Amino acid sequence: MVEYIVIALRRSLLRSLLPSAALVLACGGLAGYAQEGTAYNQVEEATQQNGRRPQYRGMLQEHAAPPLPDPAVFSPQDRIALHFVEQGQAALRQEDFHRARIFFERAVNIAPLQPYGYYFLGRATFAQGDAHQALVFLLKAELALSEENADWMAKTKCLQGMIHEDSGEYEEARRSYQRCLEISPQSLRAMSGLARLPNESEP
Amino acid sequence: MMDMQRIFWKLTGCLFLGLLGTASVLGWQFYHKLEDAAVTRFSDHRWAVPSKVYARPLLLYPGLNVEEAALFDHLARLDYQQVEHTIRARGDYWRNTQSGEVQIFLRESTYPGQERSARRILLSIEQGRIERLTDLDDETEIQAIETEPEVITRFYAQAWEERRVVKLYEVPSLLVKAVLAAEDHRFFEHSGVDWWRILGAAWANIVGGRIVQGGSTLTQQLIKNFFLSQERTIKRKLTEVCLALIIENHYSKLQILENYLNEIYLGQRGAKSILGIWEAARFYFGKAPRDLTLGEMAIIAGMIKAPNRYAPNRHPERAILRRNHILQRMVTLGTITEEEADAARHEEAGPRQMPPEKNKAPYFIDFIRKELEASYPAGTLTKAGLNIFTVLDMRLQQIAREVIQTGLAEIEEKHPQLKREMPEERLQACLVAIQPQTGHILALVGGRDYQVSQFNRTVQARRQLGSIFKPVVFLAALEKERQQRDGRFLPTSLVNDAPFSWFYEDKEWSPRNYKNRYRGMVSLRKALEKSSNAATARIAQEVGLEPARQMAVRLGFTSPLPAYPSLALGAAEVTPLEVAFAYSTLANQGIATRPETIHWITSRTGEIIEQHQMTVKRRVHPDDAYVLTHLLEGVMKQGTGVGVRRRGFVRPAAGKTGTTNDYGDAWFVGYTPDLLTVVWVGFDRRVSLNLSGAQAALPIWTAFMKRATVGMPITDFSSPPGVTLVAIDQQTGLRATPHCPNVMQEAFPKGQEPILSCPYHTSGPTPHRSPVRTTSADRQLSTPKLPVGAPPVALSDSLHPASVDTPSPQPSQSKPWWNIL
Repeated sequence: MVEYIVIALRRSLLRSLLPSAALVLACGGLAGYAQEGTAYNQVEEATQQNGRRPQYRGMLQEHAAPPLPDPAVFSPQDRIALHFVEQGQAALRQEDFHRARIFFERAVNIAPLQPYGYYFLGRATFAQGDAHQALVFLLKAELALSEENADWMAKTKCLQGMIHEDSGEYEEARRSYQRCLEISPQSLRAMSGLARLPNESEP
Repeated sequence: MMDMQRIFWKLTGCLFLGLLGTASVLGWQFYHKLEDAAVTRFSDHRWAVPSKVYARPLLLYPGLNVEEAALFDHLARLDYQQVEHTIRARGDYWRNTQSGEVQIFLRESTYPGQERSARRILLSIEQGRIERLTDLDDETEIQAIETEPEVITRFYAQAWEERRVVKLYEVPSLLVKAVLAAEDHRFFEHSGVDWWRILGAAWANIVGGRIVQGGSTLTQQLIKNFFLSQERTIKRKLTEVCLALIIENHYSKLQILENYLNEIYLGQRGAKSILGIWEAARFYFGKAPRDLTLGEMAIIAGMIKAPNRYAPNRHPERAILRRNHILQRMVTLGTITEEEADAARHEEAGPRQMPPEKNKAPYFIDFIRKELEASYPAGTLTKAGLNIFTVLDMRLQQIAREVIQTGLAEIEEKHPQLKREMPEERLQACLVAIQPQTGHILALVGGRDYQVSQFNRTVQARRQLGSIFKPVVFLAALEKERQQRDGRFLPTSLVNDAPFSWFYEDKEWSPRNYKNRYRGMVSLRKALEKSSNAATARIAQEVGLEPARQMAVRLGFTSPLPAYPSLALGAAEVTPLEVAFAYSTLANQGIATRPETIHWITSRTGEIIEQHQMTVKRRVHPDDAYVLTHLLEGVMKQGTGVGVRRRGFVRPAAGKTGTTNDYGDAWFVGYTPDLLTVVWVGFDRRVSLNLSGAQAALPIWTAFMKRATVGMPITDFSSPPGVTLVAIDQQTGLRATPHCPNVMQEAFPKGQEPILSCPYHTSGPTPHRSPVRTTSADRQLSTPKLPVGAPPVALSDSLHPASVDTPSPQPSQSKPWWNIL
């Protein structure tokens, strides 16, 4: 009788525990992934909060981009890409760089030859602390900009100058600022950037 | 003595009890191990949710060119239903044939970052173009909207294929009865093991002298499917019996039956198993289980015994005999009447039309599966219900599949000697399309027919590169020119296209041109356009093998590249995907983007687990990349790739043909500013095709690109600030005068463009005057002819006296004026 009770108890225990255990395992697995995602976010936050960031965050906010061109003159693809660029700009203003990148990448994906998505990708990645990526994106923007688009070219060169300056690459920064001034001689940002740079003779 | 005996018996008793105790403990542990395994496996199956793989969503916006058929096909794949007059429920669409408007009731979409609630929209389509997009709920115009992403496939355990788990109530009772009649008619009476049947089977086997009958119940068969091998040993049988008893103890008969119907092995489709009755019904009869006829149900039930022996598509006669046997058995058991059986016996059971593969991108799915398996624990993909959002473009994927099929069929029709009887030996092709700026793999087809061969040629086949490697050599030369600025490797610089020998490591290598045709002194442009082996080898010799090899590595080739002179002509084996990545760096102005197949991965509840962002690296100077692209544009205008233009692809594009020495591989790689495609054609067994890349691969490439770029804006390659386009006279390579008959735009690094103008066409009509055309779009380039007496001072000749070229007469000038920069 006792044996029967023990067996019955064990069976019912197993029956109730096994599905729960399986469920716990599954939840554990998913939680693991979620945790990975959280860890990724934490790393990103840590990157964003590194010591250098406040220096250029202020600079970026002051460094307003020129207005986007009138979408009416563009092809449908370009128009819709500009729509995503605008959404990305809104995210950028809220300093949601991650979300901003999603929109800018979408814009590049739809109209890969349009410069604006690359320009803002450069800004967003710089804001996230990746100067190297930012410079490559800005190079893409520069290559995609036509000569007539002087405002944007000047802004791109100026931003390149800021990133180089921030990275301690003063010679490259100087060249970028100078190029910016060639295109837009009134650029205060480039002037102040040049003035800020150490003299060539300085170590 | 008595004491000794007593002690002996006591010791023996203790030993026996000890052994008994140990055996009991071990037995108990073994039993629980089995029980745990069985129950866990069974439970797993019951709550596991397969991961879903999605293609990129379709973005709709005003101005988009849409083929209506393609749009409706897309909606059908998303399980949208066409209704008449009014859309009422999510997933409805209505096409107004008179006004050309389409109303769609979009379902909610949970594409990461772009969550959208269900909404009704109106597409106004005129002449294949969306003119307006309206939200019907608030009557406002919208700028863009996405359909929900299309599910390409689901990842199931055992087979990575499209399967559906059916509930028992979805299965017709006659099918259940047919299965029970065929396999285990006392299923609801025994407790996992049918002892009487085992005894009967044993007796039949003894009488027959061999194994003629099995005694396994459905539960035992399910256990065998789940855990055990197919070997016939006593140990396996005992384990099977134990597990069957355990399962019967834990689960109801209906649960076991439902599992059985979803898990049972029912044949083979290529390398993939057909598991479960839903898949079998779909594969063999193209129907859902509920639509099967009695005869078809009997065939499926009869197949369980030996699926490949009784498969109706392979052995229809055997399948009919077996079906009739099952029908008779059902009559005997009283589940159907004799009349019903008779009617079923008259059904046809001949070879069926195979249903098309539902997964439109099986090679792509295999590819990402391998990527995911490397980073996710085993079983996660099949159980955790992840949502995997890929970058695959289903429209391009569909086009790619079609052009491969039609392209290969055309080749076989034109060249019947390439036809093969055996499906596994047929001519093969593969195609990869990439967006160079993002690295997104938009389409990937790894072979002709996935059901015949799952070998993914885009990533698994290492094939000789042939001439498609030559641009790498030219790129290394252009880079050297940019560094040294000595005018030796400009597009107009001359190189001797003549037989020569290259001595290396005490060996001699003598590259030969196609059909042994040599053109003498030619410009770098002409050497590349005509894919000259001798001229390319000379350039490689001067640039150096190692810089050329390093350039290839920088571009993204990861396969081993031998440092032999023949590398210059593509004597290295790489995968088509490597070729695609390397060329996409060129197409993207020297910037390499990390190749991407997956964009997002979210959990079952929609939380983002993984997101792939664009990663870019500068690999090649944009000026060099542009000058090379400009040269490769010439390949299509007047070089070996001219067939592209003849076939009607007129967009700005650059490309290169590739043919290996033994004609075993035919390549074509080409790109517009925003789409790159690689096509390879050949036999898996490396048999000679006797066709060049221009003959075999180029037509497929062109067919794909023509369809893929429909509706996309026409854009030209933009030149970087460091490059100048100069109108030159083709004969002299100097600046063209208004009187030069053959003028073309040539790309030069700024500061290295020619200063002097052509002295031969200074004024008045020329002997062979033709209108001067200063735009590059449709200009024809004739073979450059040097002025009579002009000295063909070639860079290679001056440096390599061993060359066999015969020097031409020297000019009176001390300096070759046509090469002054």
